[in-house]
Amino acid sequence: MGLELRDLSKHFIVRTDRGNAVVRAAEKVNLEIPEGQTIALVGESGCGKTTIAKLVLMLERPTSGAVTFDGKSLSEMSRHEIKNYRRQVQAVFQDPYASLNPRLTVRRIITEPILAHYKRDRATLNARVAELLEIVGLPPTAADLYPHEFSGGQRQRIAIARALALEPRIIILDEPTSALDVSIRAQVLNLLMDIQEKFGLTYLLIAHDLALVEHLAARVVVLYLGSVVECGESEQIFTAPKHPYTQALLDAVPRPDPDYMPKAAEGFDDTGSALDPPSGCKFHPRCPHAMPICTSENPSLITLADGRNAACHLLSARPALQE
Amino acid sequence: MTAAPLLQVENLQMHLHLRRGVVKAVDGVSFHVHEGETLGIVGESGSGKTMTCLSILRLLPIHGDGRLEGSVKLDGDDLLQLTEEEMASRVRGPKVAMISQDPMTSLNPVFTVGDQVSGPFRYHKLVRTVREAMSAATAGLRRVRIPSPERRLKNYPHQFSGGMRQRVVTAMAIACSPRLLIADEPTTALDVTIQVQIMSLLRSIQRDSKLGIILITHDLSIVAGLCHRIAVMYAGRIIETGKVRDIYRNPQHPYTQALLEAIPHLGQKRKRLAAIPGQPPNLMDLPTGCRFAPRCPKRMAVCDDYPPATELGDGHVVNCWLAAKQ
Amino acid sequence: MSVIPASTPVTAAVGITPRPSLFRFRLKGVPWLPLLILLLIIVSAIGGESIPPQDPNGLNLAAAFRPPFWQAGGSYEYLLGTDNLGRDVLSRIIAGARVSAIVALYAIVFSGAIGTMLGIIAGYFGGIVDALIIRIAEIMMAIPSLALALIISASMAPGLSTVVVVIVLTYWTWYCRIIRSEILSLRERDYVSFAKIAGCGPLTIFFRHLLPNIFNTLLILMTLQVGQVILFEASLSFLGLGIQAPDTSWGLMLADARQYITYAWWGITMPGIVIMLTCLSSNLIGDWLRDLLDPKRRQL
Repeated sequence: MGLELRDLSKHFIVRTDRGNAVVRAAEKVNLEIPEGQTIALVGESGCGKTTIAKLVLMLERPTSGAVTFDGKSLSEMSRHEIKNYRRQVQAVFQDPYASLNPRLTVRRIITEPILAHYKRDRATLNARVAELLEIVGLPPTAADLYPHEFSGGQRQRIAIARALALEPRIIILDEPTSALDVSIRAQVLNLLMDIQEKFGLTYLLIAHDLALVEHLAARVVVLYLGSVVECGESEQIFTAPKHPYTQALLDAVPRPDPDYMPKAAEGFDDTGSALDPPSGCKFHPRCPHAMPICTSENPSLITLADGRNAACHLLSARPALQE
Repeated sequence: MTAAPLLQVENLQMHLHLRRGVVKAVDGVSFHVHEGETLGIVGESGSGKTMTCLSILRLLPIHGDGRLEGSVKLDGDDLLQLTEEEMASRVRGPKVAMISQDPMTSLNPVFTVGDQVSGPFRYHKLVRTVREAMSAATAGLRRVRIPSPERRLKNYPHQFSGGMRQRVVTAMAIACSPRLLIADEPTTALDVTIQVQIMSLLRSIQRDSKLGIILITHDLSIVAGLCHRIAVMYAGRIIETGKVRDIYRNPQHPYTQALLEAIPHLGQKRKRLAAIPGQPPNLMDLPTGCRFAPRCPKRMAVCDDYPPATELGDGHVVNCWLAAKQ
Repeated sequence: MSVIPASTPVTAAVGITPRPSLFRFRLKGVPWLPLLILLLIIVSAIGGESIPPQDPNGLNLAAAFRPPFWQAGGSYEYLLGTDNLGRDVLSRIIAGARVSAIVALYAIVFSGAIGTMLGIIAGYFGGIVDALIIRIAEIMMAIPSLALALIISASMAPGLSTVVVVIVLTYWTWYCRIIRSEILSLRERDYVSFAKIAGCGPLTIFFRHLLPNIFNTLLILMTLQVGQVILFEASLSFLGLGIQAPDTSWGLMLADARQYITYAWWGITMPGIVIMLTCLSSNLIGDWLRDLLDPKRRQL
């Protein structure tokens, strides 16, 4: 069962020069999060991936639709059930500097989730802190220091220890390594892979770095301006992307190869704005294959022969289109 | 390229004297950039890559007492010997320009883009009237391929997207036709599809104007397609430099090798990454020998002495005992 | 050739060493002089009548306008001179410390507590609560504080309590607005989100994540307010809305001495210097406390 998103939408009202406007940060997103695996949400800024994370973490309320956990919608849960949900779903965010309260010691940071749910005596807590620090590769002496005494990578380890404190089933990883230095990134990625294996965790990974996603995720969901444009097994998406946006995204990724030149699609100047999304298919102004129908009609997400989903008129018109 | 290089940096040092000690941010760096050539300086935060470039422009941190040594020869002038006025009027802008990572903070939110793009022309007295300034700004925006530049001149920075803002910043940087452009992580804050465009813009500007570019980055994959040569920095020094193909195909320094191994790349799936253990050293308390030695998987006893530069041919130079011994 | 194993602990390079005590008190950087000045004022305020060398209200017209001791005509009997009624300036400064200290203490505690609480509530909950609190604060700020003093002293007898009430009503808006904006940015911090994700209730978030992080701001506001409050008390007393004779305060001394400034400079200068020293001392002590309580600066 686990987590599911059903027709999940989140609209924000923002003030602009021309009165109030609606930002459709997430628009009718349907998603099942398979247990024990990593599923990745990818897309560029403004695609709604962080909004979805916030909805799942109950930091925002959906405008319509629901996040369900074990079949039950979060908005219908009792206090007690919400507490249980909080124990199951934890998170690690991008910025290791903002995610730790500078005025608390590492011990208090790590024990905070535990104390929010259970009564524990000091000895038990200290033993747990030492255990968690060991899991993330920090010495026990780290417990009595403050966050600023650590480097970015070490802070991210502390954040991971906090996320593990309640023995959750699911961890939301919102750009967990993008603020870290290259040489530190691999350490943290390896750590994340190790603990996933060790504790059988489910990861919902939010990332813009496609190479990272290919490396970690079993399933990939590509978002564009709040909607899912393609979704499927990681291998399918990376070896044969079907949606033109996924193709463009993959073409643009640089590689550490002097003979490889990432492709820049011309007339591709803006990532588009969720504030004023184009009519029809939201991607059509940037799409190299745009057809007349694309400007008027929004393609629905259809299931292709290989089991993946994509939303593109090219595919619904000619389901067998291969490129 | 046998002509004299556009920029020749010799043994550049920037030591920042603070109350707590001396930060050796740049510690004896030498490199050169030819006309029409792109040099990529790759390193992690704290490796001194940004400080090196700020030192070339003689823009030192306000806090602490920064001391520059060595020589920076640009077109025959030693920039470290010029007065502050000469730097401001003759070098920054007309000869060396810079674009930085965050296009939002590089632009002033209360002035229109037209005002800001025409700024360099006005400051360096290249235009006399407002009309001239605006037509110069229009041309500037057109050069960086901003659509309908006349209309966009009256817009404010917040009305531009991130990629457009970076184009505006680039237009300002190349306004006075500099010889050298320093680009400090110009695409890090941008989305991947926009990143490619900025890179291709830089490439086409370089083609048109024989511009020398120094591209600073932490990510080896971003620079692969754009650079002619690469210099890898670690803890204030260049540890390996060479033609881009040599660096990617035949990296000699264990740090360069590790950097290439440590990031996931498209097309390689779910294997453990070769993580570099440990943290970069404290710049106030550097190891006496090779600075990477404490984290190096191939460390030897001799690494307690700083390794000499070993020339492997065709400008490929590495500071590592492994190469020195062969 | 010694090879380091690949599994070197990640922390090896950066020293993670425990410090002996979290609240290790450091003597270096303690602002001794400001502390001493503030201590003197507190002692004066508590000691009251027993300290002044002369009777602060003892009229002696024969000894009016005596200059301080170092000037011609001064004597050691009246170290800082006398005022128009022959009262000893030093003794009156000491006696006035009580009023200033009480006003400052009450005003800061009450306006600080009310303003901070409302500011936190407004900032944290937002929406209609926020709008309501901010409107009230704006209305309060639109009323000139002197007019407010007039209204209040018309309904209450002028005196110490009037001064405190007026100051609290005027200054809570200060705290409220600044703390509110601070909270608005703090509540968006990731660590506040993490407290929610952990399952912490609003009280935990208040006391563990918000309050400690507005502490610096609060401290700066409070120490700045000391000076403002003392000056405000002075202007109220000057207008006859504040402290009434025979009680005395520094503000009242300034007011009394103002008209004789051309030929008895000490009457207004001496209390003026004391007010300045008090404000300066409280600001310096505030800076020091802020650094002392900030974990980041504690070990620099």
